[in-house]
Amino acid sequence: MVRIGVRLAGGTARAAALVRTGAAGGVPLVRHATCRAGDDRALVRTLRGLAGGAPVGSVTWDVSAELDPAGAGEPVAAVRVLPRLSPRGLGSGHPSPLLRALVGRQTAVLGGHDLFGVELAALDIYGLLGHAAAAHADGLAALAVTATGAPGRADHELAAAELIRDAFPALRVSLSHQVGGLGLLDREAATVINAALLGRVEQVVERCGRIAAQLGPGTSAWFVAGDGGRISAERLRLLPVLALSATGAAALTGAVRLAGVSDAVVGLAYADALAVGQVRDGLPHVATELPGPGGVRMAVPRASLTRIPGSHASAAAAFALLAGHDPRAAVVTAAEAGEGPDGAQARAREVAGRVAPASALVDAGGEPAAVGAACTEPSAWVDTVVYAETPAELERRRAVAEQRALTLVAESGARLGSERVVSSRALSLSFLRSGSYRVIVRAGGRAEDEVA
Amino acid sequence: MTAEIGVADVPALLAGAEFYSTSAAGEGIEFAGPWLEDILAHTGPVRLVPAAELPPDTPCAAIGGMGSTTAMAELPPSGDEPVTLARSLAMAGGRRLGAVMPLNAASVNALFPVAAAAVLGLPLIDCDGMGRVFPLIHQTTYELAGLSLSPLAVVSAGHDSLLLDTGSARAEQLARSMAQAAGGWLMCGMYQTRAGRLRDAAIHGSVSRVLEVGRVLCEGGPLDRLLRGLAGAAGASVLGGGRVVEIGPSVRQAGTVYPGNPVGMVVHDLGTGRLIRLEAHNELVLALADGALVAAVPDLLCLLDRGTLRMTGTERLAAGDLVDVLRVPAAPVWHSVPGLALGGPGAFGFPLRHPGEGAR
Repeated sequence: MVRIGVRLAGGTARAAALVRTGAAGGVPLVRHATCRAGDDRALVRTLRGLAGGAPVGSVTWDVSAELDPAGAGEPVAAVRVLPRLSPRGLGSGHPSPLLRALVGRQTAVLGGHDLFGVELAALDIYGLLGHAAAAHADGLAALAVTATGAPGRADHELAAAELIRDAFPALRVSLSHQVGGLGLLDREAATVINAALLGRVEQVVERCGRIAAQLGPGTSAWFVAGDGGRISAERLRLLPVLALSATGAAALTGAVRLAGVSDAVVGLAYADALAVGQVRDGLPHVATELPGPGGVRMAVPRASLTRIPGSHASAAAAFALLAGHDPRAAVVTAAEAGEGPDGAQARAREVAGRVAPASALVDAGGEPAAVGAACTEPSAWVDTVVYAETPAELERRRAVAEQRALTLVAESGARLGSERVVSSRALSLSFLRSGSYRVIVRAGGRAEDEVA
Repeated sequence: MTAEIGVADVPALLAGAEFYSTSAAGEGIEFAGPWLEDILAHTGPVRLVPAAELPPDTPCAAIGGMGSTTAMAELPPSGDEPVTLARSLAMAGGRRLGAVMPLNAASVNALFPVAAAAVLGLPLIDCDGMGRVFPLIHQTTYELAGLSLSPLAVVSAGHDSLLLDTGSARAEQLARSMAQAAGGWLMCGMYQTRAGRLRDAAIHGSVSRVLEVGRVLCEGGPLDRLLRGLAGAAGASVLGGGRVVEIGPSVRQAGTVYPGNPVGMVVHDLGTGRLIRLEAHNELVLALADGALVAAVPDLLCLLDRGTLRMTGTERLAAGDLVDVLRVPAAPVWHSVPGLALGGPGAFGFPLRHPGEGAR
């Protein structure tokens, strides 16, 4: 069974077929191909050629460039649900030009809960419906609802969605608790971007699914998420924001699989910079507080990549310092095509040359992000706040969060019994009453179509 | 010298605020950057003035938030909280405020007073009462100088407001309970005084220092240049650097005075092989190297993430991460006998003498 990964970007489809897995520690056998992204027939032909007659279990798409909100996003309405409305609108704007361009209409209505689920104000349903009506009249296609406290208690967001759908069935609704974690402004940014992409993602998902279906009756279509996991078409339709910034995560995954390791500090060489990330247990190290598209921070997990601009020599020195203090393997690869003295390949060679052993350099032979896309496995995140007076109660609350994450992994196509908790942390929350914790769970699993 | 804080200064202010938050208290304050930028874009820049440049009888008060920065990020201020505070304080003190100063120029409280000054149209005094983050609102140099914390004006994000007239410790306890019930945080106005009295009661130049450190951080790496910059701007020295080998809830018992839970972490110093144990309770409290006390409150302990070259803290870190442990000397007043009594290791329940005590 072959697994294929495809990165669609800049009018080009870069594909990689994972013919034999490196899961047992070996280096996988990978074939690469490139074709025009806009031509369905050419894509199907290319992917069939990559499979070489073997059955294709899955095609996993990196569509983050296709969903670039600057080009693919449509203006939407944004509603913030808070217990106190800012009389002069102070502090409610977003400095990002991207966000300002995507928000066609913005307002706030009363409502919301605190971190522990206590209602701070009743939801102003008349204000909400008034705003939805105005958004509808303005011709906006979607509405982003962000209620304070929604990660802990989503009642007001769910009630808002029901009311709006009843009154304006054509208006798409994006709810913040489905999109991101703690932090109202960041989660609102993610929710707005998500709502703005709901139209475009329908086309992308439909097309990718149609192409995958032509490779065989058993071929499924999946999508790379920004945390390096893979998500289903149904989940991407609802949450396109999860697919943003997927290329970096996929490239990290691809680089370590090509190197035949599962833990590494990784340098991804571009013509203008080196991006440094980490992979642990085969999964990219991620964070939620990083700037995303257009510099907008979203409370959505994505691969943590530190960009080191400047000359090849200065990037090499910085990477050597990091790798020298790291017991894990060092892996360097060119993340994009580019020969010549100023290209990504030359940067990768120089960076790898400063690291001992020199075998750190991996020749992807094509697009590392496409390799990574082929390797992705189902994953999920849960980020919530709990209150527990005793260690036993904390463990019980944490187990509930872990079970939620495992369920999401199963829904993303994990083989029954393969679901596992990758990391589970209960973080003491500063300056709140003793017993206040933030629980962050990352879960993963193995896909049904594992390569033999 | 009078200066201004405008929209362009906010990234540096935010980065410096993270630095002075002694790691644990700086988690999740990024929301305050765009929030303050939006306010300053509406109001224009804020005048930053040394206390000595104001007429000595200028009425002023400290502004700061208390509670969880996670709660603040989830339930941000609506922007008009300072108006309520100023009204309450004017009612209690009989005179309108002529300037505001930070309770502490660190964490989110480096930004809230700027927003307050902007919204109220007042100058911001370039000083503070902590030079760092302490968990209790009366752990200040204002308190050491004998200024009265009360009347304490508080307002929540839901606009519940209260004016408390009681002793400092009692005000802290009552307000802390209210913060929990009101969504996790409160904006506070306190230490109403005259600008002339700040001469011996405040740490001067604090806001400028936060901006200077923030500019160093915004400029970025490489690591050695960054560490040199932080040494120059803040007097930071490196206690050690290496991999986090342990992190989690601390086994030590904590008093009930402080909110939050104790956390412990161990860094394996790659240079010397020593194990540096850090004890945190909201912020980093002390550091032991191979069992010997090497740094403690009131001095600051900060963690620099070697991977991202950003300040970091216990909520972001996991075993395996590479960090540098930095020590920054507190303002001299904190090393006095009353200063150590209010903000030294003993105040946090540690039966330890500050490493500098023997040298006095």
